[in-house]
Amino acid sequence: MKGRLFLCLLLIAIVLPFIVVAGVSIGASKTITFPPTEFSLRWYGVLFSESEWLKAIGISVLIAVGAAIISVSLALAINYVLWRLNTRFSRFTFALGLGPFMLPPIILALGASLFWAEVGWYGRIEATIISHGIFLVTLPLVVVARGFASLTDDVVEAATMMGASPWQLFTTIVLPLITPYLLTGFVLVAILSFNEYLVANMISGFIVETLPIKIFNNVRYGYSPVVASASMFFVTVTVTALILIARSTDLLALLGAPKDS
Amino acid sequence: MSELALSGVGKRFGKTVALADVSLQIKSGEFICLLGSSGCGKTTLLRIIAGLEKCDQGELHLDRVALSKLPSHKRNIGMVFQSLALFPHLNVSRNIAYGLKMRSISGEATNARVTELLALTGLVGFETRSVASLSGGQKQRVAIARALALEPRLFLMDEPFSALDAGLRDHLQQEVKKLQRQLAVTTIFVTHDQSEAMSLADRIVILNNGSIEQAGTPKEIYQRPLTRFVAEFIGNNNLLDIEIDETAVKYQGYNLGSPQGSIENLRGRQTLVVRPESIRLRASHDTSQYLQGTVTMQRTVGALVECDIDVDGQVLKYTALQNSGPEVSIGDAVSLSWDWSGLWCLPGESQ
Amino acid sequence: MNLFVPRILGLCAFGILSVFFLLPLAYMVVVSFYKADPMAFYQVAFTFENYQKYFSGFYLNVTLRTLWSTAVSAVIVVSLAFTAMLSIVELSRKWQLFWVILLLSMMCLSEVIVGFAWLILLSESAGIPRLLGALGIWDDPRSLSPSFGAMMIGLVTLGFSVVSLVLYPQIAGRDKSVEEAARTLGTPPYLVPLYVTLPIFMQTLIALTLTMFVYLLGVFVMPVMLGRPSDWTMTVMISDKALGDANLPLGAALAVVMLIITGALLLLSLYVSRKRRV
Repeated sequence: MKGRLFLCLLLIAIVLPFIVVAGVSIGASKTITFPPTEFSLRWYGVLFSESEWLKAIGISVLIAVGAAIISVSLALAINYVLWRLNTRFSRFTFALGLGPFMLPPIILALGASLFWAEVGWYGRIEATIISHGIFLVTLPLVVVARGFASLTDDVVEAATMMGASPWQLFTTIVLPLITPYLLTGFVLVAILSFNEYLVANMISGFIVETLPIKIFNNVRYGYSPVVASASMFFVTVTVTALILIARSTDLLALLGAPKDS
Repeated sequence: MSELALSGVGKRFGKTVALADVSLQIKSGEFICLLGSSGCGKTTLLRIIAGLEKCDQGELHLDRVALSKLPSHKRNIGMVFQSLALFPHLNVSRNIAYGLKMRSISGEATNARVTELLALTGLVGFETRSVASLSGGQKQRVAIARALALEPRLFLMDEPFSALDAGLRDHLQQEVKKLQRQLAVTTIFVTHDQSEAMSLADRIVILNNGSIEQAGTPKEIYQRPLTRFVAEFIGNNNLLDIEIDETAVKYQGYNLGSPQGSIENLRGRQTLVVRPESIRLRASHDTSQYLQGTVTMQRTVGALVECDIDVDGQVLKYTALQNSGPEVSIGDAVSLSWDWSGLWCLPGESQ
Repeated sequence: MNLFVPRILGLCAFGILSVFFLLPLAYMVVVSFYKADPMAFYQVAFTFENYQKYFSGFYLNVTLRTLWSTAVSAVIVVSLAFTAMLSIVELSRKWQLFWVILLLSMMCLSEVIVGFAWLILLSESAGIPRLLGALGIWDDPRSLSPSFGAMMIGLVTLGFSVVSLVLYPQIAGRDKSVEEAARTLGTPPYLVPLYVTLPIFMQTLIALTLTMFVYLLGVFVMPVMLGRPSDWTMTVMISDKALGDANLPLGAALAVVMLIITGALLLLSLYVSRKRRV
């Protein structure tokens, strides 16, 4: 029972800030106040009508989708090669892919920023897309590895015996069986990229202004309740995406929890 | 309709010898059971035949064509895996049709073949069901239908029924046997269960430590085990070290009378095979019988009574139908005899 | 079998990772030896100036301060997450899913959003101070941020979800019979976690604390949003040098120092988890 009480307090600590933000976002007042005295959806109106906010949303979505495509393709390639060859080189490549999550993002961000400036792509959205795609690859890499682990040898042998070429094996057996893992990886990378601030800001934050960058700049240099509605937009998108994953896959098992309990 | 010849097949995994010099002729349409305990090399041999494993020595010929250069998928071999290895993302029909698709066989021909196989394996009505929703027995049928779809020259099965309960296993065994006769496909079936091998095979091949101990019909294997391993593995036989001369058969100081029956013409040290069910028991010490002993274990298994009888240190096994012999219990003194006509000495161990 | 395609694919993947992940890091190390130039980004040179500046006092101080606040928050995060997960895995599967989605959301949500939410909650006009003021508990309500405490709350919130999610499968899948055995041997139920569960997980927790330390080392938004300038961490300094003062070589040198600290910690955590397996 003590455990339950502790969990309730924890739940409050996690959720309370967002309740306040939600309250602010539906208040009519021009300054940030809680609880709201008058209700209005005007700040959501501003978010979805003012071109600078719309532009930031558009940029963020574009980066998220692009980064997710790069990340998942790379994760698939690395895992496929590891599965087919299982050489020391392929294991090393896999380990290298785990690297970005082991370093503080500021180091990656600074490195990427110097690199893109040198290449001459400073300010180009492609730079942010590629760097997000590379730095977030760890997550789909691990998720897709679980997918390949679920491919048992005998299924592959059975297909090979029946005459499937490596390409046919890939398209008719491997791909259909790991698709849920690819999708999960895709959604996770898209969400993380959509929310990422530091790397995007260091690479070309002044020119390619994503939604998190815009919110942060707003907070740092005087802010209006639009920020609250933008934040709630984020929360909604993120939670919805995760609930969708949870409904289409066994999320708990995907995380590695035992099947029945 | 194909015959398979193995000559001198050998395989090592690192330092362990999985198969040593295995030679075997399999006739067209024959049903062979590879029988042995786990680790005897039976699955390795099957995988070499399927082309999933390469052998280090020896050669395989299918219809007089060497197999070593032929990759697995060009051998036209149907295999049922121990785990079945059904494709979880395909439904019943698609699982069966997979091999046909890989051969780019036309849709119509594929459909016709799938319909035929569904009927053959009793799966009509399950065409679009997902394989995950099937019962154990139904999954077996899908695996069998899938392996047979391409009219394989060889049909291989790797302990397919080991995970099923006894009743269902019995039923499927009979179906497989019927199907095999009907299609006359050369079949190799791996199992560790001797009763399964006995009921299915035209010929049983018993493997031990990577080599063939004995190959023969179920009846031959049962009645004439050629090696100590086979005699002990099949039917729990009692092995008695005896010495035969012109006038008497001697065992541990017992005189078993003059040589008669199938051992009449044997001499010297021999290993006598006495099957548990050929022993006759009397519920008291009786020097007119061959041996005297003490019951150390007694149990009833269904219709049978089984006893362990200690005869001067060697434990002999005794089996009889209930009520067909005397009632004995643990600690009772008993005496044993047998009819010499059905007995047999191991040929490899005469001295 | 034709292994040409997977080999090429493997080389490509390796190449991509090298160019976009390793090369920038290597380049950063190179830049850390360049000379700062207020007009351009940097001047190609080979100098230890930047490292000398680092060891001159101020940045060393920042480093120690950073290590302290990061270490404290990492320990708090892991203890909180471990305690919470022990209770969460006892819930029904439905509630477990609820918590997992909640934690995943927290993990995915931008630092910016989480920081902003706490900023509002701690602010004078909309948050807890206002509530306390209205209730008459606090006569003179003032904003609770920026402050060291606010920054710590922000850091702990960020790390908590990650650690909980890593611990979840391990705690959910643990062999509970050991704890049951301890109870049948006379351990009072409330002491079982302390006497049995905690020692079993100790090595995992230490490795996780080290990993968390590295993660929190790189957090930028929380210190800036919720902390006072005197609480700012190395990450903030690096970003300020690189973006604000346009002194990229010094920023790079600071980042290299952080890279070395990170590497040492990763080796340490590797050593800890190795030891567990033996």
